[in-house]
Amino acid sequence: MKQLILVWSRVRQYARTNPGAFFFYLCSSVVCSLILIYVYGNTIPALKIIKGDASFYRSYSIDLHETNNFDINRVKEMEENWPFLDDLKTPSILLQKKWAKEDFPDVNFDGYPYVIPMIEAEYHNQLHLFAVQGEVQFNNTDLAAAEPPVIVPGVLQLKNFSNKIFHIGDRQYRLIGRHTGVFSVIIPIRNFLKQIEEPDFVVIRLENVVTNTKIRDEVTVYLQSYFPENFIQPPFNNGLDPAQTNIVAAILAILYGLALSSLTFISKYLFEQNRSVNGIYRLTGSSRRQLARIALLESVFLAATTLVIAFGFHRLFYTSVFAHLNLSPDIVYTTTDYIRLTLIIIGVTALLYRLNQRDLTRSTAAVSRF
Amino acid sequence: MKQFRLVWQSLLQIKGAALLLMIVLTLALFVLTYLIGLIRYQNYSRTLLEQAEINNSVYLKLAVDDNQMAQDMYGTFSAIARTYEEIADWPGIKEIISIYSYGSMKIDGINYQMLVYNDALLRHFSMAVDGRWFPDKPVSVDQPLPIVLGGTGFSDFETGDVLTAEYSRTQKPISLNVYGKVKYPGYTLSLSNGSTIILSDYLLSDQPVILVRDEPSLLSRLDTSDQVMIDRNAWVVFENGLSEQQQGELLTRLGSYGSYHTYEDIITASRESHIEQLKEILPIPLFLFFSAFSCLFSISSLYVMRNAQNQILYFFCGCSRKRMIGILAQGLFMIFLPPALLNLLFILFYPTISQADWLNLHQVVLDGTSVSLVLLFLAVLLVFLLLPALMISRRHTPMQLYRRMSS
Repeated sequence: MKQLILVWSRVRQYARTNPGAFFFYLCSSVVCSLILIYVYGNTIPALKIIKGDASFYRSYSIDLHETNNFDINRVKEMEENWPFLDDLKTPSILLQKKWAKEDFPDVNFDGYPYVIPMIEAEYHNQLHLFAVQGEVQFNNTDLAAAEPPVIVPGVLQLKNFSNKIFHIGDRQYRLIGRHTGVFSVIIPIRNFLKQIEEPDFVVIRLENVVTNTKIRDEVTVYLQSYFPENFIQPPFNNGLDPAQTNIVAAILAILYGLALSSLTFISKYLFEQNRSVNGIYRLTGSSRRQLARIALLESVFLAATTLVIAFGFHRLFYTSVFAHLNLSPDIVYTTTDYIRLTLIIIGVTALLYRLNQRDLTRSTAAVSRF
Repeated sequence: MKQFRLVWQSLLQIKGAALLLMIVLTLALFVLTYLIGLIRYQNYSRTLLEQAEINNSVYLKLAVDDNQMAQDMYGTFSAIARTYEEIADWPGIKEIISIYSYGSMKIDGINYQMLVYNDALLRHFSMAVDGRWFPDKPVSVDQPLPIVLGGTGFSDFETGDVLTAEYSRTQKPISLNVYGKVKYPGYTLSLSNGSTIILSDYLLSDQPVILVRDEPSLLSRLDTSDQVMIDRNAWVVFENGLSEQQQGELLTRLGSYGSYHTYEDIITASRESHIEQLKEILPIPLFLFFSAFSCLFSISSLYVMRNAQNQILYFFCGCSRKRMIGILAQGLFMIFLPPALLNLLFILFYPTISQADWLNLHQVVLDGTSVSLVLLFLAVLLVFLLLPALMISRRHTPMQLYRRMSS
């Protein structure tokens, strides 16, 4: 406790001796820390957003292989009672069935480098595809036609490229377009249910990636309630590789150190003005080690003060200022992020401060008194 | 000289800080240069497209049977060429801009693809060249074939050179006359990209290519068959004044041959993508700039504070305020000089370095404009740093400052 009081009085002395320089030093440290918090948020949390929204990051796959009890009414009920809102509302519901090569008599699989595509249908026939050729949406005319429509992957090698008829098993379809995907031959839901009794998968595909693990689990629980006997594969985690996160954090710490190191030249100027105080401590019996400990406490104290002020500003003005300055929307700071920032700010500040103080604490009492 | 020694001695008092500042400023300037180069490349790619005057057009990606391509490449290319000829005859279609090739040429042991530029390509996508594009009238067959060199990697050749190349199909020598070289950054139009999303920079290539003019005597000059290689993608330019319905019908018809992106879609998607790309890479460079500014302000404040007493003595000895600021500016200028020089030399020599393939950053344009921007940045910084010293010296007399310093 005594040492903390001593540290506090020393800091007050620095402020009294040269208020302009001390205030400049403190403000600059706070601004430095604020910039670090801002840049950190726009790198590490933003990387999660940038990582992308590929379908496997936002799809729940219900495996129906082990159970032969598929009931479309269950899917209907699940969809009607869907409780989630905002980004999670109105998911796509895909039914998928894996068939053998022989079920695609119009396809030439010699040298085909991709997996055999699945038959797929969307519950509402709402497709989100990119075209290679022709149509990639079913319209009412297509659905009402005598020959139902089919959309195949653009990479699928047909025996006759220009053929407009496509067979799946013994059923005939009219080829209306090719899409950029690889895995799915897409038919209307009505034809899927007629031709296929037991799909292999039901896939619930959300519009956006859900980063909140609690909500992800809630969705899993909800789906499990309708498919209690089936395994549900949740979306793949699009979280960052811990090694990548640590590398980025290390780079930020180095840059923060560079920014702060220039400020320590100012602080060194301040402390030099008060070196006679150190001399008095040495003369009155303080050892070098004690002086070094006091200097370290000073640096931690200043770093903690900078931290509290910077975090306070950031939280207070996040919605009104910093959120608008963010380079990506929806950047969220987690507890882990704050802990990482605390370690960076206090660690770097203490290290630099300590390096500067080394000269002063090692000076003899006689030298310090002047 | 005396003044230089004066400044140098004052800098020696803060040598550690000055060295740190030089390192940080060097890094910050290189990052600034890279960012300027990236933004200029992005603008360059969009500007090329805008200058092509094909606002009423679509980028068509034909759906092609890859099986057929593997079995009969030239047959498939011919089918693609016929498809474009067929589309060009549709009412409402003004022209098709496509690129084709009759093979490659070997010069000094290196193969370069030879691309044929027809009138449509020359009208819309003839980039600025050193020298000139092709002569208006075809040269006689016994004269060297006029060519324009595009892309990087032709640093050994100049306009006016007559080269002997080996044509890949016949292995026969052919004489080439370099009429022009595409000016730095050397990008030429590329139609090989068939991605799901098309951006303006996807349509540029810096691969070294030899461009020849499409003319009737070309095939006889090359002494080859008319087996052509053609990109499956092309620009389809509509006639002006088509109604929305007519355009819609044309687009539906084109959709049955493949997929397309309208000119507006490409420009809009490019702008958005370029902004996103900058957002992804900006945070750490921003922090580096902040570190550099922080260094600059702190160390220049330190420099001013440490020299304040000397400055006051200079005042008493008759030095004017203007001279005082001049000495301070010289000190800061000496700190700025090494990083600025390194950076400017890099920018000035980068076109030569990239042409010689020693270092190619790709998708970056660095030239005289980058130099001007970096110099402007440094000038503004210098003025900013001198302002506090100027303000202090205007508010207080030398005597007041001396009394403050002494107490």
